[in-house]
Formats: sequence, C-alpha cells, structure tokens
Amino acid sequence: MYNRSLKTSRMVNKTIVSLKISVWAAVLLLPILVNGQDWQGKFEQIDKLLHTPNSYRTASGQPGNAYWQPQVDYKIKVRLDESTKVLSGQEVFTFHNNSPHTLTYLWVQLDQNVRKKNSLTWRTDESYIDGDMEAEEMMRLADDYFYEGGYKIKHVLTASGEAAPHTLNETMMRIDLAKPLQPGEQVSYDIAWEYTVYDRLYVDGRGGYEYFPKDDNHIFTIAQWYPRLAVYDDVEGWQNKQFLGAGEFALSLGDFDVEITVPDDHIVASTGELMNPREVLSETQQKRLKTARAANKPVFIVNEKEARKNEKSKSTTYTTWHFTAKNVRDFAFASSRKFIWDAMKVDLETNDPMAMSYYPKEGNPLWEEHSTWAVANTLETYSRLTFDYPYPVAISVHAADQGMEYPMICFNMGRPGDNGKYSKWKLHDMVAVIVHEVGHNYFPMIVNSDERQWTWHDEGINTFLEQLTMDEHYPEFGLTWGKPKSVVKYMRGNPDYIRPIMTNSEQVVQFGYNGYGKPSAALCVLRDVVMGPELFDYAFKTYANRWAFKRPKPADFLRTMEDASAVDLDWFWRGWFYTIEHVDINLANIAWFRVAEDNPEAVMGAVSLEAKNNLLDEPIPLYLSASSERSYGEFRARIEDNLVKENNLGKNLYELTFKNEGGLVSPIIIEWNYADGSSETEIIPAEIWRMNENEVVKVFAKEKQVVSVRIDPEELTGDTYTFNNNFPRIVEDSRIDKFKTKE
Amino acid sequence: MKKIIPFFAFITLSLAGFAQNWQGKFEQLGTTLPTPNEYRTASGAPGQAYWQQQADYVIEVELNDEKRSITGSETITYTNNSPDPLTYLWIQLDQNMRAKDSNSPKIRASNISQNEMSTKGIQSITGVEDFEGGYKIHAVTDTEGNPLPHTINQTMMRIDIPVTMNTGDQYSFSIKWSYNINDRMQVGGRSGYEHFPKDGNSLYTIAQWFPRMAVYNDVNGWQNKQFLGRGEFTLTFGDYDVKITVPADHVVGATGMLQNPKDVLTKDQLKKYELAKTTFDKPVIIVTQEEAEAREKNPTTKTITWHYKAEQVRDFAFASSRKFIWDAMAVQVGDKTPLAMSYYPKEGNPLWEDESTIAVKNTLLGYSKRTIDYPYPVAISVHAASIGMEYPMICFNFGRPNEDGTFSDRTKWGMISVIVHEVGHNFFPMIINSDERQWTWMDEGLNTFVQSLTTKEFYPDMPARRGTAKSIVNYMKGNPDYIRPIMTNSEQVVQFGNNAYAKPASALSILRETVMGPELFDYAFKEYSQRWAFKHPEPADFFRTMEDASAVDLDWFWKGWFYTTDYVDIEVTNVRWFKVAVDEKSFENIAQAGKIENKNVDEEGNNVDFSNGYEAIKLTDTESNRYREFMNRVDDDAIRALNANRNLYEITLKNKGGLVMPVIIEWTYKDGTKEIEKLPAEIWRMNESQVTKVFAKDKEVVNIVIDPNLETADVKTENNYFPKRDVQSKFENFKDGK
Repeated sequence: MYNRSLKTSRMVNKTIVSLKISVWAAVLLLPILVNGQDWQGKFEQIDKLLHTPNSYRTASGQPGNAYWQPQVDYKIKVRLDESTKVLSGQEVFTFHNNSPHTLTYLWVQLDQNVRKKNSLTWRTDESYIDGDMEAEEMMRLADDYFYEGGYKIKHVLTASGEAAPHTLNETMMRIDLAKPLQPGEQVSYDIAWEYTVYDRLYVDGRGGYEYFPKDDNHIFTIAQWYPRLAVYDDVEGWQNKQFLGAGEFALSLGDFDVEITVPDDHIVASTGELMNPREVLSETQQKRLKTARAANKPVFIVNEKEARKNEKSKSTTYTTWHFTAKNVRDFAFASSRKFIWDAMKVDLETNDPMAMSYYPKEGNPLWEEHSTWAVANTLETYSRLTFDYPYPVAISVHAADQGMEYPMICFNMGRPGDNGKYSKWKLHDMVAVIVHEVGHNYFPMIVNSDERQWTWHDEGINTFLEQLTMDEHYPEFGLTWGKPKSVVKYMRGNPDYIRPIMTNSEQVVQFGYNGYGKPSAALCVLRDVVMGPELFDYAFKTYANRWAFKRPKPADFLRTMEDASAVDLDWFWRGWFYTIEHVDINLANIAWFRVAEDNPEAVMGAVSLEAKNNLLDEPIPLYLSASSERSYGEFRARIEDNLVKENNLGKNLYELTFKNEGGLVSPIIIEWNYADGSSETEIIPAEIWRMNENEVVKVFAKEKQVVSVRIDPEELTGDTYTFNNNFPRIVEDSRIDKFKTKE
Repeated sequence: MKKIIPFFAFITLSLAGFAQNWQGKFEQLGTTLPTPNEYRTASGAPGQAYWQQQADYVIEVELNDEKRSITGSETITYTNNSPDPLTYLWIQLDQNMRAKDSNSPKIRASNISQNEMSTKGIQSITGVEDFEGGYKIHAVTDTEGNPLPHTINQTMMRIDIPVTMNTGDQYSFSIKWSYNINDRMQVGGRSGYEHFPKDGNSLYTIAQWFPRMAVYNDVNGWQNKQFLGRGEFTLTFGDYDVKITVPADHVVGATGMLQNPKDVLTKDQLKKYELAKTTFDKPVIIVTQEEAEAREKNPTTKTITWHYKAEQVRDFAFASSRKFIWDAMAVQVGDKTPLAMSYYPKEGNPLWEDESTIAVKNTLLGYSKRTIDYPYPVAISVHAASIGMEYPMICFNFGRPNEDGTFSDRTKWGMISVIVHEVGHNFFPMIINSDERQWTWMDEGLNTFVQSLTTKEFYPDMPARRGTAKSIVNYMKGNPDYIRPIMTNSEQVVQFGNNAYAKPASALSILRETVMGPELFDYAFKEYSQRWAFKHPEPADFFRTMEDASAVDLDWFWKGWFYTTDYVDIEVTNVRWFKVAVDEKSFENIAQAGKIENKNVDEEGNNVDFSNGYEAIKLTDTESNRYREFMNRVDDDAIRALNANRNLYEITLKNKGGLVMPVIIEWTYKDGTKEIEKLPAEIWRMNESQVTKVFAKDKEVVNIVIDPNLETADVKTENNYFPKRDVQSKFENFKDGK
C-alpha cells in the first residue's frame, strides 16, 4: 500500500498515546540486567531478540533444510453485476499440507467482513468530538456509510459435496476438517459467497469502485474479494490475527484459475495471463496485443478514442474473461468500459514480461505518457537489485487517490486536472506511486513477508528500492522521501508518537514514517555509510534470492544482511529497528596541538580544559619524550626516539570530542577543511562508541593545519540536528560574516 | 494424593510477594538462553543433529629473515557437514587488522591530557611509520588454477564459489599470499618478531599467518564478525600438512608432529629427540645453549624446510629462530605419552631450562584429570618477551630473567603461571572449541579457573592471584560504570582481565567450593569438557550441562554472576536472643533475669551486640483449630521439655549487594566452641533483599560471623559480624574521646 503521507491518517492523529515508550523501549534495548550505570549494551549481539535458529530457518538467515510452506490452489468463478454492484463467486481451494504437522482445522480469511456493521475495527477505533463536524466525518464516526458490507457465505462444502462445519470469527473462518490432514496430504473445499462492492468515495478500502457521474460509468478495482486461506507456518502456526485495516495480508503461494464474468463492453485487467483472448478481445485488439508483446515502447490495445466510444455502450450482456496465474499469493482484477489499455515488452536477462497500463481518459495525458514506462523502469531496476521479474505481466491500473499492490497488478493514483494539465509534483507522485506499487511485486508478493505482523518488512524495503529507482530513472525530481534527511524531523519528534520499527502494524503511530520512511532511511544509511554499496548490494540480493517465493521473517533479513557481508550489524538493527533513539552527534570540542621541538624551558604538565578549546588560536605545543624503560617490558630492543621525534615534528594533532546526544550510535563522517583550501573526508565506524556510548574523544594526526571540521557534510547519517555538527559553530561564523558585511 | 497446604504458607507467600521490589532472581533463565533444538539439547549436550564443518589445509610457507616477511600458498579443502547449501565461503584475513585502512585504529579512542607525550604514545596515534602491515592476496583460485571471485571486507574475505556446496560436499581452493611480519616491541600483536640488538638475531613467533576459514555453525551462520584486535578467534577443526621453509640454522617449533626430523636435525639432536620420547623424569636437551650461541654468531642464508602434520586442530602456529635452545620430555597421560617441550633463547635461562617443560608437564596432568586426557602428541612452550598467547600444541610465553641471569620470585611465578595458563588453553578453547570472537570468558574464564586449581596442586607455594573468592572483591565493589556483565561481547568488555578472566574464575571457584561442593562440580565440569571436546560449545551449553549433571538449580547463580554486575554484600542487620520458658513461673524468672534497662541499639532500633540480653517467650498449648481435621494431638509437654531454657536467635540479614548467595554462619559459643552452618542461596527466594530466620541453640552464642572464611566474595566484611564491628568501633572511638 502506498503511504507517503507526512500527514498521518485521521484516526492516528487523534490517538492519544499515554504509554511511556521510552520505558518499554529500554526493556527491549537491555539485553542484560545492569544496575547503576548508563551502559546499555548497544553493541551486544541481538540474538536474544531473535528466534533461535533451527532447521526451518538458519542462523545465516536462509531457509533451513527442513523449511516448508503450504501451497494453496484456487479455481474460482466470479460474476460482477454492474447494476447491483454485487460480486458473487464460487471457489474450490486445495490446501497442500507441506508442514510436518497433522492439522484438524483450517482458517480462511474473510477480509470483506472488516466492513460489516459494528466490525471489530470500528469498535476498537477511538473517536471524539471537538466542535462542529463535517458531514463526511459524522458518517465515519457513526459507522453509517449507506452500505451493507461483509461477506454472505452461501455454502462451505467438502470435496464430496457435504456441508462442512465452520465457525466465523470476524474476519476469520475456521473449517473443521472431516478427518485429520496428515503431512503431505491435500484437501479441497468448495465455498460460495457474495458481497456488495463499495464506493471508495464513501467507504475506505483497498478494493471497490469509483463512480464517474459525467458518463455514468464505474471503474471496479477488485481485491480481497474471495475467501482466502490463512497462512500456516513454522513461526506463527496459523496466522489468524484479525484483519483490522492497518496490518495487511499474510498469504500462501499457489496457482489460480479464475473466470471473471463482467459486462461484455468491459476491459478486464488482472493478475495472471489471459487464456481466452479470442473470446473477449476483438481481432484488432488481439493483433495489437501481439504487436505490443514485441514492442520496446507502449502500444495501444484500446486507445482513448475507442474507450470514449465504449463509455457510451452500456451493455447489459455479460462475458467471461479467463485468467490463470502460477505461484502467486493473491489475485486481483480491475474492470471497466472506460479503460484505455497499452502495453510493451521489457527485456530482462532471463525473462521478457509485458508492462501494461489500464486507465480512463481522465488519467490522460499523464497516463499514456508515463505509466507503462514507469512499470518498465521499475522492473529493470528491481530486477537488477534482486532477481529478474519472474511473472509474465506487470500492470498499472489508474484508480483515484490510492496506491495498492497485488501480484502482477496494482491500482495507482495520479490524475490531471479537468483540463488535462498537471504539475511536476503530480507527475512525480504518479510515477512514484507506480514505481512503489509495481515494486511490491517483489516485496511482499514474491519475497512473501507477513504483512499482518510487520508493515516495514515489505513497505520499508520497498520504499528503499523505490527511492533507488527514482534516483536512477527520474533524477530530475531530486526525490528525498525514503532518504535519511526525509525522516530527520520525525526521528527527533515527540517520543510519545514514535514507536520502534519492530512494532506490530496495528500499534504503529505515524504509519508512513514508521513503516515506510524510517526503515528506508535506515537502509540508505546502511548502504551509503555503514556497509558501502558493494557489500550491501550483494547481501541484499542474497536476501531477495534466498526468500523469493518463500516466507521470510525479520530475523531472516537481519541475519542475511550480516552473514553475506561480514559487517556486524547487530548495533544497527538494535538502534534503528528496536528503539526510537535518533542520531545526533555533537562535535563538542576540538583541541589543537602541534608537536614542538624539545625545549628545556617548557613546563610539563596537564593541559587545562580552557586551553583545549582553541582551533582558531595558536596550537598548544606538544613535547615528545623518550619512551620509558618500563614501557618496553621484557623486550631488549628499543625505539629510535630521536627518529620518531624528527618524523613527527610540526605535526598537528587534533583532539575531537563527540557527544552522542540522540542515543543512536552512528558512524561519524568527518570533513576536514584545511588552511590551504583543500578538504578530506573520513568515516569512523560506529564501533567508536562501543566502550562509551555517550561520549568519545579521539586524536587525529594531520600534516596540514585544519581551519574547520564538519560532521556528516552530506547529511547521510540521519543526524537530526546539524547545528552542532560544525566546529567552529556555523551560527557564530555567520554572525561574524554579517558583522563583517556591515562594516 | 491430595495435600492440604498449611494456611500460614499462603500468608508468607503473599506478604513476601508484595512488600519488596521482586526481581525474579530465582526465576529460570528461560528466554535468556536460546531455545534448545536438535542441534543443542536442553541438557547442554550436542543434539542428535549436531554438526560442524571441517577445513583441511595443505600449506607451504617461507619465512624471510632478511625482509621479515611471510610468503605462503595453501590449498583448503572445506567440507560442508551442515544441512544448508552454501554459495559463498568466508575466509579470515587477520593480518589486515594491521593494514593501513584497518578499522581498528579508527575506532580506538584517544586523548591528550598533558603537553608531553612519549615516542610510543605518538606512535599509537600515527602508527609505526616504516611498517606496512596487512595481507597481500596474490591469488585465489580453484584447484585447476582458475581465479575465483572474491571480495575483501577488512579482515574477512568472501569467496563466491562457482558451485553450490550441498550437505556432505567438499570444495578445494587455493590462496597465495604474503605479509610483512610486525615488530612486537613497536607494533604489538599476538605474533611477530622480537629483535635482539646484541647478537642481531630475531625470534619469530608466527600466528594468524594464513587465510583461515571462518566458522559456519548452527548458532551464527558464518561467524564473520570482524577481527578488531580484542575478540579473539573462532575456528573450524581440520587436519594440517605444513611445510615451513626457514634459514637453515633456525630451529622450528610448531603445532603438530615433525615429519622429517632426519632432514632438519643433526644426528645427535635426532638421538636426543628420540630419547626424550621415552624420558619421563626430566627434560632432555635436544639443542643446547652452546649450539644455539654458536648459531647466533654465524647466520646462514641457506634455507631448509621443516615438515609438520597435525590432526584435528583448529589452528596452526610456529616459532622459528637460530637462537632456540630446545628441550623435551615425555608425559604419561592415560594411555598416551605426549611430549612436553620448550624452545627458548639463552636470554630465558636459567629460568627456562629449569621450569618451562616441567610446567608444561604439570599442566597436562592437572588439566587432563579435570577435563579430558590431553589428546595431542606434543605440548610446547616457547619463550617470547612480554606475551602469553596460545595455539594448538604451542604457546608463546613471557618470563625473562634480568640480563645477569638473576630473577625475582615474581618473575618465576609469573612465568610458571603464564605457561600453565597458555598450555591450559589447549583444552579451552583449542579442543573445547568455544567462540572467542563472541565470548572471552568462555575460554579465558574457564581456563583461569582450571589454572588456579593446577597451580594450587603443583605449586602450593605460589601466591594465588586469581580464582579465589577473596581476590575478586576489589573489582566487584568498584565503580559500576566500569563494570560490565561477564556475558558481554569481547569488544565491549571493560576491565578485561577482571571481567573475562578473574571474575568467571572466582565465580566457578565459589560454585565449586561453596555452592555445589567439589564432588558434584567436578563431575559436571568434566561432563561438560567431554561432551564438547572437539566441538563448538556456546555459553548455554555450559550453563545447562553444569546444572543437568549436578541437579543443582544454578539459574540464579548464572543470572547473578554472569548476566548482572550485582555483587555480594550480606549484612547482619539484627540479632534477637530469646530464651524459652515452659511455664508462667519460669517465664517470670527468665524475663526477670534477662531484663536490661538501657538498651544498646543502633538508629534503626537493632541490637548491636548481646549486651541487651535475651527476651523470654513461653510455649503455650497448641490450640485445637490448628489441628483442622486431625483427630490426634501433639505432645505439648514433650515439646516443652525438649526446649526448656533453649536459646533462640532470630537473625535478620540484608542483601546489600544484590547478588543472592548462600549464607554461611559461624556460631561461636560461650564455651569457646564454634560451629559453621550453611544456608543455600534459596533462602532469598521469597524476599531477595532481606530475610529473617530463627535458630535454636542449646548453647549460648557470643559471636556470629557471616562468611568467616571469605568464600563468597562478600565485598564488605565489616557488616558480617555480631556483635557489630563497625558500630563497636564507633563506640570505642567515643570511649577514646575522639
């Protein structure tokens, strides 16, 4: 799902967080019981925060030798009645028990029930009144949407046609198996259902329809539309945590065979490959489709002119589109007589999928110019950084005011004004959302993480790849979302409204920052500062390939990134993912020394703190003395003291004092500016903080004289306050400048 | 059977539960330890699916005495015994810790507090200018000579192998490398050379000298945490075939058995070498001081190759010098007769010829008894200045007399201690192969503990420095800002010696002597050693085995001593003295006799000594409701008769240090006799900060001491006495008019 909103969602804004996060974050942080000191073990290994490796998931972060996951195949027939908006379906699912366990029941997800009157979601959302209210707000507050939502389950039958005992619990349905399902066995059930598709203008939701009053047509974007098997795995057993609206979907991979019946003037975009083009497409369309399959730029299969014509036909005859999809975790489709449709081929090393777009004329000229290209660009960059896109198609459908992902298909916002004009930022947002949602094909559709539990695991990683893709293909936007700088304000904000990234989706506050921006920024810091692109990219690619078409957990990601790079990252994961600390390095002081010639007059002794604050004045002379006999221990050889003195004479020594004001331990990027106008940058690894997590002092030897020092000059570390990154302080400098200018 | 729990038990429980800040000090370690699985069991033993990798090495290496460099080539055969497919291998390049771009100096804090700095001081900031450290990797190839893609990240190198190694697969590859040897006097390090300016020769102690396989295991995957200089080594077992080319007049001591003695030894040396193998009473000198001194004077430029083989070792090190004197003797360990040997320059004598090889022998005997029989064919002690460093079968040890050959007791005991310690490392971690990169205490702590038992046994005159309860007190009561739990990763440990060596050794000593008793402890400790010999144990495997093999619940002990920085300080807060009266009349008499007008109490109203006398209590008839459903009755009179005039002492103890420990009470009676009784640590389980307990004594008590023999590491003994000492001294001060 797309959530770049720096504006947080409505309910979240009104949530009053009374919990003292600092307290329980500290509990997570402390691996040991330490009393009476402020050492927090920030560099200790995080083993205890992760599950113990076993034969299902290894310590290296890869699937273990006994790794297993269920497969669920679906054969579905569905009819969408445009006049009543009722979607009615009948499915036969086959659950393959690949687990080593005997099962006596199955859990089926009934997501549409989230929109039932008096749902768990509505009952557990807070609300309050602060004066006059917009009508729309009143509607939500009263749970009164002019809409009767939720599934009607018409039957649940065994393979032999007998009624199967089942129990509904909100968005979950338990089917009690007729006989225990042994490891390696499979079982099929037949479910018939219907529900009314909702108007997204009124009812929030990831699927639904948009109504266009001018031409009296709809665009249906249909998702979470059939009873779906819950996931059974080695970590959760059944993942049957209720769907409340924020935590998205946990799904098993399987094969789909779906027949979709819609008005015969509709164009259907869907997960999978179209099996009966001859029945649903005109000969021209079939021919154009064939051309597009070999085209290196978008080719219209239905152009705007034809779509405008279709808008008027209003057929009441129905036809059936037949799609199949292999090894997908879900299935979604869009249907409308308003659709323009274009497509092109994308050349990857091992695959040549089609990038396609479906959009109403209201999306043009933006969509015909940019959508399919954005799809192609996404596949190209993501494939290079992970693995070649393995599916036959990747589709972007235009739907107002949303961004939502499904296997091979996604629904994206980005609509010009009525006059067809659009700003640079409208274009940016539209391209960014397409990159993001198409990118979701990788995370979580293929690298199939548990969205119900962890939002960051797909959204954060995907936002990170989104910003890399945008940098590569759309550098003109200079996008900052997802980079460290974009989360600085969030990270230094009121801690009452910040929670660790490792927080279950339902309890996340500031959703966009927590689940998207911050994890993406963290990965940027990791790639650009901590690991370097070479080590990072290899490890990241290793993760993606290890877990493609499997179900990773956070530990599998954290462990793989370390295992494949030989960079100890436990401190990083602990700080960025398990706490709400932020980076704020304060370059508190610089003391300047210069190695001086021996001077019998010089008085030797302690250097005062006052004398040590002197970068702008004269250096403190530093006298070298012969090493003491004692310092040689048992050795019989001796250093040539005079040679060492000679070699170091005139060297500048700078003693820098760094304070860790934000708590989050971070590498220190130091930019040295020399008196001769040159500069030099060096990176001190975060482990400088391992002994003292609050303050470190370090001496640097420089041949040249330093005039100023800046920490994190390119703002790559997420440092939340940069005013204390300079020495001398820039504020003072600029005051001096102003003063000088006046004179 | 149904059992009625007496009513008062509930009262005690609920009261104790509420009135205090309960920290669960006796709760089981639970999720603090990894979940047991098929690789590592809950009993602490290797599981039925336990596996470990094997790495076999064939190496040819040349030591260049003139350039002070190492040039080598190796073929590693790696066996994947894991159930996991491997697509990349990690190799350790430890020498890169000394490379110019190393992270180690970058993350070292430093400051200038004086306007004067020593030449060594500035070298620690600027580095030693004329030394260029770090590996040069010349080639990484498969067995056919085709280059293999590899990526170097500081001290780790990833090789992307062209095949996926599945379970049971072997893969061989070759590496060619060189590096400059560091001068230990200037650069430091666990290995390097020492230069002797007087005769112009060097003594090489060569270690971490070849690219070594990182460990892949069930706990860490690849243990590829960088070598920063502190956290030592994590290594895989394997067989080694090593050919070492050195100047022809060098003597080489190395891990493993010499394969070509005829090629490298004179006939006479060979004879003595063979003689040593059957000489059990004293060392046989194979290369004499005279021979060594002669070689010092006439260095050769010719070379010779020493060929060594070692089986099932986790590492390989060697020492080489023309300065070496060499002696050896056989040691009977079970049915094996390993050679104890020493290599040392004349500068080590007369200390080394007298003590080194004997110390090696004593170590093998002392350790084998407590762990497993020493399984290797040789155990070597090499003399190297100012260092103690361990490798399989060989170690480098300090202990050098003054230039005139005299030496202090301190030098001698120091030298013997370090030899026992480093030779002892053959057991921990060389054979019981723990992960040093992660846990220093697992080898250093256990080794220091066994070292202390061994020196106590063989050198009873040697002052005990570590491994006693008493010796850790100063550390434990120190500034908590500089104390970290034992269970801290090596890189973050402060007060390294105390944290990782002394405290765990003292903890184990206390566990043995005071908590478990030697019999239960020794059995469990030996069980641990046997279970994990030639395997990779983790801390939990040790904790669990010690408990599993002894039936002593030790979770509270591990928690307190290993996971916290709590210390032991038990205070005798109050002692109340009662006498038992059996009837009204005797009650009056006793009460009268014990009555004292002006009570001597402290600010909290607690007694400071016995001067307040006793209080009388009487034994009443047991009321019938106490019998609940029972029809029978106890004999109240018999109980009275038994207790008439008995002394009751109600002692209140406070746990000031936080660390729960057994309470050892020494009673001194009026008749001058003494009695010691021990309350297990579980006395604190209901109330972790204060307990009160009543003791019935026929004799009158005049003095009570907690931990009289200083076996619990109680950091403040002044508050262990009754009559109270600290209070008394105040009183005495008052008397003295101060």
